[in-house]
Parts: sequence; C-alpha cells; structure tokens
Amino acid sequence: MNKILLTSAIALASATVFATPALAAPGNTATATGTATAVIVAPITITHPTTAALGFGRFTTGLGGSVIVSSAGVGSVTGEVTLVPGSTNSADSFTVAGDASRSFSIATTGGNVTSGATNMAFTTAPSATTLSLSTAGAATFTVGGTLTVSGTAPAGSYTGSYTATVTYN
Amino acid sequence: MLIAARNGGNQHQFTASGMLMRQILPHLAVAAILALAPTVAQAAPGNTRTVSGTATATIIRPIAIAATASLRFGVIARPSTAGTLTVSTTGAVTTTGGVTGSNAINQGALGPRAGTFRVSGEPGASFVVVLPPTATVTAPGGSMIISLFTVGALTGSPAGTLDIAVGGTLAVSAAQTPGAYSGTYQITVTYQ
Repeated sequence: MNKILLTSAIALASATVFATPALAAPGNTATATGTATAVIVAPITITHPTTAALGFGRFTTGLGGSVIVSSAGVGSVTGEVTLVPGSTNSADSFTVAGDASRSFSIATTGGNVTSGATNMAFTTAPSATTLSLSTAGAATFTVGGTLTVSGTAPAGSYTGSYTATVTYN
Repeated sequence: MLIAARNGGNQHQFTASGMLMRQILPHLAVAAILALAPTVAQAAPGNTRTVSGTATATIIRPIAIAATASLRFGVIARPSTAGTLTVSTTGAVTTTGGVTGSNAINQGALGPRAGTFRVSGEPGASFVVVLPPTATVTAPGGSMIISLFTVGALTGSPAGTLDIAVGGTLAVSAAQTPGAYSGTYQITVTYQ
C-alpha cells in the first residue's frame, strides 16, 4: 500500500497529466497508518507516618502569645508563652511516592487544636512548596507551624488535625 | 467550508472547495465519427445520414493520504477509578471518570494533540474517510483501547490537498500499568 501511495504522490508532485485512462481501482482510494501515543505515570501518593506530629510542646500561656515550630522542628515562643523545661517540639513529616523525577507541589492547611470546649488555631508551613520525586520516585517533606495561644486557655492536652495535599506539576 | 456531511459510524465525507477550476484537468474530448459505410445504397440524399457523437473522459489525480502527526493523549497520572480522556480534532481535552485531565500535570514535549493527515488528489473532489471502530496502544505490561474516532477538516491549501485531523477517546483503567503506550490505526480515504 505504501508503494501505491508513493507512486501517487510523485505523480501529483509533477502534475503529470495521465495519458492512461486510470479508471477506479488504484488511485481511487488510499490508506495511511497513523500512530497514537499516551503516557501513563504512577499516581502521586502521600503517607503520614503514625509517629509523626506537629508538636507545639508544653507551655504556660501567661497572657497569651504564640508557639512557633520551624519545619526543622525547632520551637520558639512569642508574647508571654513560656515553654516548660523538658518540653520538646517536633515538625510533622510526610512521605510522597509517584513518578520518578516528576515535580510536585505541596499545600498545607491550618487547623485547630482542641481540648474540651477550647480551640486554639494554628497555621502550618511546609518545608518546601515544590519538590521533585527522586529517581526512585520518592520524596519526603516536613511541616512546621504557628499556634496562637490565648491567655485564657485552660490547661490540658490539645489535639487537632490539618490537611496536606500534594499535586503533580 | 469543507465538511459536507458525516455518514455516521466511522465514515466521514468531505468535499474540497469547488474553487480552482483552472486546476481541473481538461476534458479529453474525443470526437467519434460514426462512419456508416455506404453499402449498396446508391440512393440519393435522404437515404443515409451522418451525425457526430461526442465522447469524453476525465483523468483525475489519484487520491493519496500521508500521516503528518501522531494522535497524542499526553501524560496522564493513573486514575484511582477508571475513566476516559478524549482529544478532539482541535486538540481539546475532555475527561470522564477518574481521569482528571492530562493537562493537569506537566506534559513535557508529549502534550495532547490531534493526529493529522494530508490528503492529496483532485481539487474539488469529495472523498470519504474511514476510520476503525477501535485501535489499541500498548506498553510493556498493558494496553489501552482508543475508540470513538472523530475526524475534521483543517486547511485546504495548497490546492489539491486537504489536511484533516483525527481525535479519539482513550480508556484508562484504575490498574493501568505506568509506561509509554503507542499503537497504530488505519485511515482510508476514497473518492466519492
């Protein structure tokens, strides 16, 4: 079939007027082969290790202030908030898997930690907003945050959650 | 201005514009003489009669088709539930099910586009395009089906050519093996 096509094309290019009565048959129809392609990549997944948490530590409120935990897990305070001796801070961490070497974006929300009827709001900040998966298709990132502490918050153990989302670029 | 009709199914009919008459090859008019050999007739006028008939023949260029670009569905993250991705003849992407659109992720140089072909032949002639009901693209460990082929006319220049575009719908399963898939499909054009 390709040969027939080629012959036709050449004849056309030279604009030859055929002297032979080409009736029907070859020349009346032609076929070509098209190609089609698609690439499927592994979906992106994100996992939260059960042992990881964004830990704002143990502190007294005074008249209020904030606790700041960097994405490296280092804690600091503002206002009258005071970390008590022995308190530890921790950044949260996530593992990501997907298509090797593909870039992805990270977005994290804020949230509230709650104890009884008391809420305290926090914001979060990931260690990066864009990363690339390794050649093995893996990546990790950490999340720090800032907790706003009121001077009236009762003593207690506060917990809460937030959402981390990863998206292929 | 070029699409005349669609015959349903996978047949599509096109009519190239009727312009460019100068390019139509001349009719080969052949005068046929009906020679009636006078037989015994020595008779006077009125006993025999001669007229001229006309015979014509038109030679037109054979039709040809050549692929000029691949039909690309782009880079798709495997969906969590099955879905489809459709590339139109203009290259527009629409999706169903769990497929959220190949444009959502970086396509590199592999972004979606319609397949294209150049049909060559007699200016002004119409032709029918036939595409298969389905085609298959494969990669190591998997395959996907392309269905619902569509075809549309693009430009009709230079004279005696018509570029046509082919779209289709790709079915992606939730268990699709990641990889680079490719395959072929046949397209046939026939003068009408």
